[in-house]
Amino acid sequence: MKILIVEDEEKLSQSIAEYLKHENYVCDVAENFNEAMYKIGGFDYDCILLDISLPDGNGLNILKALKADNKTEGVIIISAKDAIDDKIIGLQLGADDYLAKPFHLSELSARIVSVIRRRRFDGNNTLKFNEFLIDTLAKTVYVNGKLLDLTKTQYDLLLYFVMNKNRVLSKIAIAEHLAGDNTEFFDNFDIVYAHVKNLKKKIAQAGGTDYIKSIYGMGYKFEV
Amino acid sequence: MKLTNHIAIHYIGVTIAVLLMATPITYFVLRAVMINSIDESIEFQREWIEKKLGNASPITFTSFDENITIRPTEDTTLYERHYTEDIYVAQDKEMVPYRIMEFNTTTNGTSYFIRIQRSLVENEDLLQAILVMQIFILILLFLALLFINRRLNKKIWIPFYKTLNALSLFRIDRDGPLNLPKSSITELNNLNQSLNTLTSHNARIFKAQKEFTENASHELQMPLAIMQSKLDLLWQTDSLNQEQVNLLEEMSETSSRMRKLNKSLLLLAKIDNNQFAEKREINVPETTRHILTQHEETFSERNIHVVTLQKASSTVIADEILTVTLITNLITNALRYTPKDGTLEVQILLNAIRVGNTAVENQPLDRSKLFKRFQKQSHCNSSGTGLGLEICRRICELNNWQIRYEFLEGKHWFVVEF
Repeated sequence: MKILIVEDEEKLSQSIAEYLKHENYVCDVAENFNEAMYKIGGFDYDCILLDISLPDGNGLNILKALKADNKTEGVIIISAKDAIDDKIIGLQLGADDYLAKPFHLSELSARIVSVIRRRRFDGNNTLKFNEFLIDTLAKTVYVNGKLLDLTKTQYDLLLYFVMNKNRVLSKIAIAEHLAGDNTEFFDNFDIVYAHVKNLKKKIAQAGGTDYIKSIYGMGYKFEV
Repeated sequence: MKLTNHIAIHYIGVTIAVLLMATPITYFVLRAVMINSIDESIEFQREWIEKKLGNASPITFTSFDENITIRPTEDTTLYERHYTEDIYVAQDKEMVPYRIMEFNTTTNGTSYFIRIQRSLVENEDLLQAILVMQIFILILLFLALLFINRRLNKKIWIPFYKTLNALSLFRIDRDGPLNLPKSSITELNNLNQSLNTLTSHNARIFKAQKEFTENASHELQMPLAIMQSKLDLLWQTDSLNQEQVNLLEEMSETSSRMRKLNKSLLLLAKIDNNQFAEKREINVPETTRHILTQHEETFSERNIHVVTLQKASSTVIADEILTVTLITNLITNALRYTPKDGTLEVQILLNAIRVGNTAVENQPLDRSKLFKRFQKQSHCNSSGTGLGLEICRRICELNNWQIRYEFLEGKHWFVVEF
């Protein structure tokens, strides 16, 4: 799957590309407005990561051009502005998601998975691997066909793990993902440990494999 | 005391003093001049009597004029005396002042004592008239001063008070520069122009300062994003040892704290820059319930007993993001400081929300440190940003809500009155 990263800060686009490479994405980087317009015109992508403030133009205009051409790429706006107006305008113009800088790469990766799934498997809301079946619409999980009784947080946690398979997730990245918009006031990372423990217990009770590995007691990895 | 009255009192005081001094001086000077003139006139009469006395009997003088007394005398020494005396006039039945001249003269070998007297009554009347006139002028001056005061009040003081009022209501965080009008009075004009310059200069600096915080926070986002992404990549590298992971964990936590701090600063800057002007009706109980639901698992994990009490269904008109931030802050703040097995209480009253939590130590918080940027309670070593309550305070200030802290029966309470 191909992803275009429109981002003028080279160090950041490098990190993103590096992280996504391991998720088996092919990444292209456009450093400015013109390069982005050129690449969009010439190639097809599954997802475009779009920075709004570019040195030679507004990223929102790229979004407009995409929509005018009826392109089907998923678009995630990554902005340093974190302005509510930008978010609303971006989503109104047809962006699929909005992520404010700074963000965790695992968070970005999870969003990309969601966007591509939504675009690619239109109508199919299930995610399947080994004995797990996740219904993303009903927000339910089945292990070996048996419904797992998960709390909302446990469901979010499992989905986050599944979307970041084989990657190390720090407690902080997990805590911040779970806290969502309330991140700035959420400083208790120990809660993650409890959530993971409960999730593992429920999966084990349902007869599922324990894929969640602790990394030096500081992070976790969903190893498949 | 108003400046105008102050000036008026001084004017009137000086006027009275001058008049009080001037009146007797005028009186005595005029009197002296009059007496001098009467003396001169008597002198003429004397010369005339002395000239005529040689060939006329003294009776010719005295018979027509009772004010002249002539009688022969043995005393030949020359003698002359001027004085003023009150003499009883039977005709008017009153004492009347007289100017009197007595002298001796010798004519044809006969010595006479002559006394000429002249009534001062008309002159005294004149003096009195002058005094009355002076008092009249004094009253006139008073009235003129009052009149001028009134006029000045309209012309100078009302514009001045307008300026003063505008200045006392001026808030640099709310208003732009003062645009005071021009005035025909130089001092007032200078004052207004100076204030205009001063406030516009200050407003410019204040704006730059506000923008700086926001710009700085924005600019910090990028390096923070880069650092965060590099840390995330570092986590993915193979063969990390325990020591490296510990370091990485601490760096990640610090980076997280930095991001939160920056986000909070940016939020504060945005509140200061009035970027949350969109107001709508918000259902407080519903919003609160929603926020509490988000933390349900944390409550059960830490065995925190949550008590909610809803006495009324209140709604507020405010920005939704800010209101949610406020209530979230109050609840997460309480949650953060509730000990295991403690109680967190939320009460929704008609025009208020109260959030309370069991105190770890049974004593009130240091009030001087509450609601202040980067001020943390001495006993607390949490990794909070130190901006949470400051954000609450600013949100309340923006909406004219009251926020206060109470310590009741071993519980910390934060109360917001809408």
